[in-house]
Amino acid sequence: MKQKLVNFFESTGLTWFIPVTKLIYADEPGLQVKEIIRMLGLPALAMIAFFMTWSFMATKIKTSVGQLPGPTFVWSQAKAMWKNHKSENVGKEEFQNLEDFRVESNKLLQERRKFEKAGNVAGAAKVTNDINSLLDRVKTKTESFVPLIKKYSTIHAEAEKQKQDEIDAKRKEYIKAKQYALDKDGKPLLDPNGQPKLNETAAGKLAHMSNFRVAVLEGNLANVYQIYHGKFKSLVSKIEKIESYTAKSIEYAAMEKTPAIEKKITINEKKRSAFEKQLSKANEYNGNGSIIDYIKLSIITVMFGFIIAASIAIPVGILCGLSPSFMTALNPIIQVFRPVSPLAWVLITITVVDGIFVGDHALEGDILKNNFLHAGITVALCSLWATLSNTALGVSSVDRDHLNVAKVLKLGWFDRVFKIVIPSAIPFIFTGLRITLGVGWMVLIVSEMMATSHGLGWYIDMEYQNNKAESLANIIVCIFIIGIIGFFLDRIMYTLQKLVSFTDEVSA
Amino acid sequence: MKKEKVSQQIKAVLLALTFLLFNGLYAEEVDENTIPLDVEKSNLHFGFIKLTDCAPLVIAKEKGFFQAEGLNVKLTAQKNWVILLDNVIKGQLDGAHMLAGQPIGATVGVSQKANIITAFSMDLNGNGITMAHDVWEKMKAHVPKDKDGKPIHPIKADALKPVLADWDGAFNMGMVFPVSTHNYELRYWLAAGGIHPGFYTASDSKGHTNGDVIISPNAPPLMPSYLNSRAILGYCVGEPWNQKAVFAEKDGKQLGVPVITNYEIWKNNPEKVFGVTEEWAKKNPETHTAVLKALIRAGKWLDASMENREEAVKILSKSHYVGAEEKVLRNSMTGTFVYERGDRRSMPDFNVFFRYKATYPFYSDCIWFLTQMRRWGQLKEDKPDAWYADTAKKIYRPDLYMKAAKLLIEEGNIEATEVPGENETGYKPPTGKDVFIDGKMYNGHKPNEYIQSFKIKSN
Repeated sequence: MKQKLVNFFESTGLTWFIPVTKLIYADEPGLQVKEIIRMLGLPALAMIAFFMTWSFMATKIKTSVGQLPGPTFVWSQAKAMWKNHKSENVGKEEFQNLEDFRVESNKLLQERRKFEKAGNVAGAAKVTNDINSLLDRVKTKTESFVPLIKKYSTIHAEAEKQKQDEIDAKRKEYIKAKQYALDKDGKPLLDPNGQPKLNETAAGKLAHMSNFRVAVLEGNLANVYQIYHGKFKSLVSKIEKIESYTAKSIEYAAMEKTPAIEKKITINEKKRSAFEKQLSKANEYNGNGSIIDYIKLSIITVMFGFIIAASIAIPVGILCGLSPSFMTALNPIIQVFRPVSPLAWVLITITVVDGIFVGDHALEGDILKNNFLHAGITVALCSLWATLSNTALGVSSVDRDHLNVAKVLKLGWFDRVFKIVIPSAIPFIFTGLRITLGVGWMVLIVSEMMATSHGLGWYIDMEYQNNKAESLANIIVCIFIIGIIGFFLDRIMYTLQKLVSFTDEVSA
Repeated sequence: MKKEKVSQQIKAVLLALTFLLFNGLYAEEVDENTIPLDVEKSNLHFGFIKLTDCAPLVIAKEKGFFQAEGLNVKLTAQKNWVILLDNVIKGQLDGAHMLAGQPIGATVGVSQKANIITAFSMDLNGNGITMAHDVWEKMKAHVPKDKDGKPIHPIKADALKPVLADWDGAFNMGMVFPVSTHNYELRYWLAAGGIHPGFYTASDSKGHTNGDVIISPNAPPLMPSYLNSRAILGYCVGEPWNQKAVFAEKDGKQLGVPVITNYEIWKNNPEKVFGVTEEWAKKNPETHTAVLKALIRAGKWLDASMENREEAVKILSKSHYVGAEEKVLRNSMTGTFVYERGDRRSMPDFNVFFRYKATYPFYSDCIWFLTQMRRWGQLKEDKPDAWYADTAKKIYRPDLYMKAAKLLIEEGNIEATEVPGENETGYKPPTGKDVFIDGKMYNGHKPNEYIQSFKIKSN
């Protein structure tokens, strides 16, 4: 077991965990402790120094949207984003419930129409009963939101009040200490409401007193429940309306067919079918998504770009490596395009992709939209060069002896490429792919910022446009998320690279 | 002990109640009267830019007006006006919150070429011109003041002229988009004060030719940042980005000072519209009517009371909508406007969503934009008056609007008096002398006469 774990950590490059594992198995404890101090203690010290510098700088740097957020504020924003994700999930779940009820009611309504068409009154009446029991279930569900709304509004209100009280108390304290902002003549400056204004340090501290935001956000669930309470109520009212029109139509059917009644029947039927049609239409979830959704989309996009990059770069790279003349021919193109910035590529991709997939050729589907292609193709264009040149290098540096053996064995061209050249170039190819994925991840954020309406890059841009203190903190949270995901992507590639390489000399 | 517990419970209930009333909790209203149309497409995706005047779309979604029509709408903020229009043209979006000039510019080929139509005007007014604080300090010396020493509004560009004369280096100003209301308003204001804002010519698509100032487009939410870095010294933009400059700080002073609102440049001018492509409207006529019904009701809701405006502020301040702080949004949405700190003035008509038949797409409004495109050289040739009328007829579609409005009247959701009647021609009566800041009279039937009346105009 111990050796297995050690091997795992070694192959993934997470070498910090090795001494910990060994310590757990009491393998030379003294040595391991020293090792841990060296491998974990030093980075921890650097981390602490980094956070301390950051919090110190944050108090000193003032931006147009207030103080630069320090680590505590950013952490509270991270928690807030998580809470937001949670309530978004609750929304999604309730949306599904609502949609299930709609589908069920639609099925029953269609069934009843069939019976009516066939003149089967008893069958229709039976379905009506089913609809009524469904209606009761929807009503019960609707009512179940009421206590939830009450519960979470109380939480919200209390949290808001607590936060406001704290802020007020602090403000009083500052005013008592006369921490005013002064103009050139030493007179206190006024805020837009004509009140004396606190000085920068004091105002910055007040603005960041949002430690209760998380509780406030938990209370925001009340909002979600309130919205779905409304949506369920509206479903109830639609079904009820259909029922009342149906009851009327039965009533009218029994009456004598005078022109007045005929007219009433037409109007009644029109109303009934209008609502029935509405229930027959499927709804897509139309919420705004949470950070987790954006992360998922970004990862899918980068993988899409990565696969395109690899499927272009590896074959071309192999050809370049096999034939020096091919390499010479392509070299200028590679050298010129390799250093081009994603910002330039993305504009070309937007125009080209939009030129192809337009009008009748427009793409359908949730993520397979032009925007997705813009970002994905840009990632591919910017990142394929590393794999290409590495593959070419790997192929061209295949051991001469191996090729000579192939000649002796009279292997065909295909056998030579697939049995000798590619296997021996694989470590190089994977080194290239690792760089490609790293570059791709960096490029992705830029291209999403420029071209799409989803993903982490877009989210960062939207937060920037929101232009308030929290936005800056949210952007910093995203920077950490991007860094951490980039790190894990790199670890995965590192592991693959290690598995396929013949030597142990893979740089972490 | 028990008493304390009870009083705590009462407190909690009271808190919850206040929260329900005031704290941004809003419910979808269940509709009793609406008869849903048989829509061709029920899942819709609309785009908007982070500005307060996207409110009708946001309100129609959040207050359940779309839902009542059987529409399931998703709203996504777009990065800028170019991407927004592109996405509508490509069909990634079904429709969007657009600058009034965008459908017009797209149809006559001033910007991206496409057939965009509009049957719904989203709001009136709502823009302002903000100058950097130091520029304002210099302008102030030339502004007439009342007996309390407060500047008399409206402030004309005459006050900026002497400042410009002494200015070292280029004087850069920002606006939103070449065919945006902001561009025309900023130019109108400058020209009314004798400052030449620059022409568009065949070789100059930036509109800088002969200009005393350099006017360039920038993304609205970034204007305060650009003002801060002094890339620009003034800008014309919609709310909340003028009020943002009042709250933001530079060197202990407010970053910028809004000097004039567009209400003072042209009383009750149209601002944003809801635009869709002509193909989309043809393919989805019932859906379009249903969307218009919901939007008209959202407009009505927004203008119904101050409480509704307060609620709208809460909704808009959510980060996936406008996302600015509530206090910034509230400053303009609730009938007041802050110029300088401490100088809060009442401005009840700063944001109009429904009053004065604001939602109706008047041909004469469309023609005014065309006259300005001609005035500044975006349209290169003179056209007969009939061309203006025909073009307006192609882009502005009051017929579609009235179809939706009639259904709403039948359902009892709006009063017949709230929308124009049967014999509305789509042309507002000629303006009086007090409507435009320069006192010019505008008659939608005589666009050429209006263009000729300007001293500063492209030839």
